[in-house]
Amino acid sequence: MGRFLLQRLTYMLVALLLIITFTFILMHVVPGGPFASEKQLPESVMKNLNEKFHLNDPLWLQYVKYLQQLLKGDLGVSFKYEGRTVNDFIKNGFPVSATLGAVSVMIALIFGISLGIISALNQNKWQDYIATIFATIGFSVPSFIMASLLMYFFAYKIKLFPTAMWGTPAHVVLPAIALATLPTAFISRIVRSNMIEVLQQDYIKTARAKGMSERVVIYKHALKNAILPVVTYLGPLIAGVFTGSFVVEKIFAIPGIGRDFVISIVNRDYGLILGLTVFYAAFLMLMNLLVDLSYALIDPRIKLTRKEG
Amino acid sequence: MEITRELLTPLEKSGLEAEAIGKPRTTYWQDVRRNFRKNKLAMVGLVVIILLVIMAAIGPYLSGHTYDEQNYKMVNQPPNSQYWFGTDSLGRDLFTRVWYGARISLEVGIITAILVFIIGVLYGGISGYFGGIVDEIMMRIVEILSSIPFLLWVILLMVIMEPGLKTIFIALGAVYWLNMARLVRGQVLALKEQEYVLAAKVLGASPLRILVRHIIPNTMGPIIVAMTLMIPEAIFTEAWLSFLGLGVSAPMASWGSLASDGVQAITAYPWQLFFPAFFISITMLAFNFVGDGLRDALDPRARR
Repeated sequence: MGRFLLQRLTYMLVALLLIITFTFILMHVVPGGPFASEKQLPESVMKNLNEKFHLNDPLWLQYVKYLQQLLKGDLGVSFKYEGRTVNDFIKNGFPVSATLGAVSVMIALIFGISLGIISALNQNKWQDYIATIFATIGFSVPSFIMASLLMYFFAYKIKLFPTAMWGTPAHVVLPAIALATLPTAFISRIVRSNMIEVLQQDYIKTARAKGMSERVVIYKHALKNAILPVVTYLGPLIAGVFTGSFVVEKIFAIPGIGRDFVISIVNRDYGLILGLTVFYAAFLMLMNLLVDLSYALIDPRIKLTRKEG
Repeated sequence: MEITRELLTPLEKSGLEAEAIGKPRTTYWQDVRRNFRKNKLAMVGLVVIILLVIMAAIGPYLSGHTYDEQNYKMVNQPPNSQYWFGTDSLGRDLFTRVWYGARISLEVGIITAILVFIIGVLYGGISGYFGGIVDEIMMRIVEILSSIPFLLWVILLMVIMEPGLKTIFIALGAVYWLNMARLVRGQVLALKEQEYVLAAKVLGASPLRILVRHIIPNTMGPIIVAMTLMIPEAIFTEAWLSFLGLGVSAPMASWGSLASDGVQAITAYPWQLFFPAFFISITMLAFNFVGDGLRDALDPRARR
């Protein structure tokens, strides 16, 4: 367990360092980037920049200072919005994005697992076909199109939900569904095929032979093993929901960090892009680590010391 | 008894064939083709892809309007007899633009798949074939890189490089090869212990030749499936990037950028989103069907 944890942690830190180094180099080499030397800036602005970013120091020293600053939890400042730090953006936006992400993950898990079970128990019957059609649509419609369509029909045409903004639970529904569509489809397929496989195993026959009710067999014995692979999918699921929320937050004008990130890209606000990238990378990798750990804890068959690729 | 030459004459061929049990022998690829043809969904997918490719080739010339021709008197027209898919906010013909976008989107999908194939096969092949410390180091690199959320990678690459098609290929290729490398390595590891590889080695073939001529061809099945499924994934990601404003820039168009424009105007002119969205979804479906069909056809043991 300890070795596994250590190995994953090392990978994570190396990967994070890689991203940070990459973003640091980025700041200095991008043509037209924030510190590009060919750009003519007013004397006073240059002086401020120099003071803030130690541009007169040798490159390696700048790098060390950048790392020190990150270690202190300071992700830098926006180049566009004067006086706003990346940390400000995260403090305001992250709770919003996290709420949206958590609701989407819940929707995906609940509907995905239910659909998968229904499909598996009614293999090749009409319920299965409907679930398959749903999953196929989920696979083939990009989330930003799904978001726009949901907005068009449920907010604009029949006015069931608000079209945009944030604040009440009703604001969460449409964006969360849009984000959850693809993972729901994916989870339902995983659960379906696993459930079918598990139901044919001997221990299920034993349980049935012992005279257990069908309900107990399915929900107590089979389901546990059938949804195990879903746990491995949680890492990519969380990453997908959070990166997917870039576009969904943009469409629904939700004040989360996803929208901030998109705006920073449009504005070429390098300070914000880099700060948020480092934040996203760290956050998603941490999530992945937690998922890996929980998987190892849930399934005793998993060997902890070595993870096969 | 003396054995004469006459006693050793071969039997008549026809008699032997009558005794034969079974069907004519088929090669592996003939089997694959036949299994694939039996899969209705996969065949539908293939037909759709062929139609899409044909339309991408000739579509932009059919309506008589070019993709960047603007007509300010005909702005935001609904589909009609002159503009079959309607026009956009600058009065450009959406029919032409949708098929022009099909070219770009398919190009993105296919070229990315080829790039990923080349990098992945070389990297995974070398890693798997040489094994030992080389493999250890190369796979650690892959593991570290793949622990970074890949869309962040793509966005960062797109932000630093100049916008354009080439950048999209590079950014997508730079990210998606990781899975391909893993897949190829696994295959190569399994194959390199086989006798025919040993035979080639004994005959003095160079490692590169063994890899390229003997091992890789035998790993083609799973690789082709992965490439087929790579194409819709790349189209998807390009659409997503276009939506963030990082894809191809106007007046060029991809399905992603068309859909992105359409989203802005959805309440007033829904058809501007409908057509690109429809074709993106159809393409996803078709490639996924073909990919699944190929997977089933290539692996005779695969569960249906």
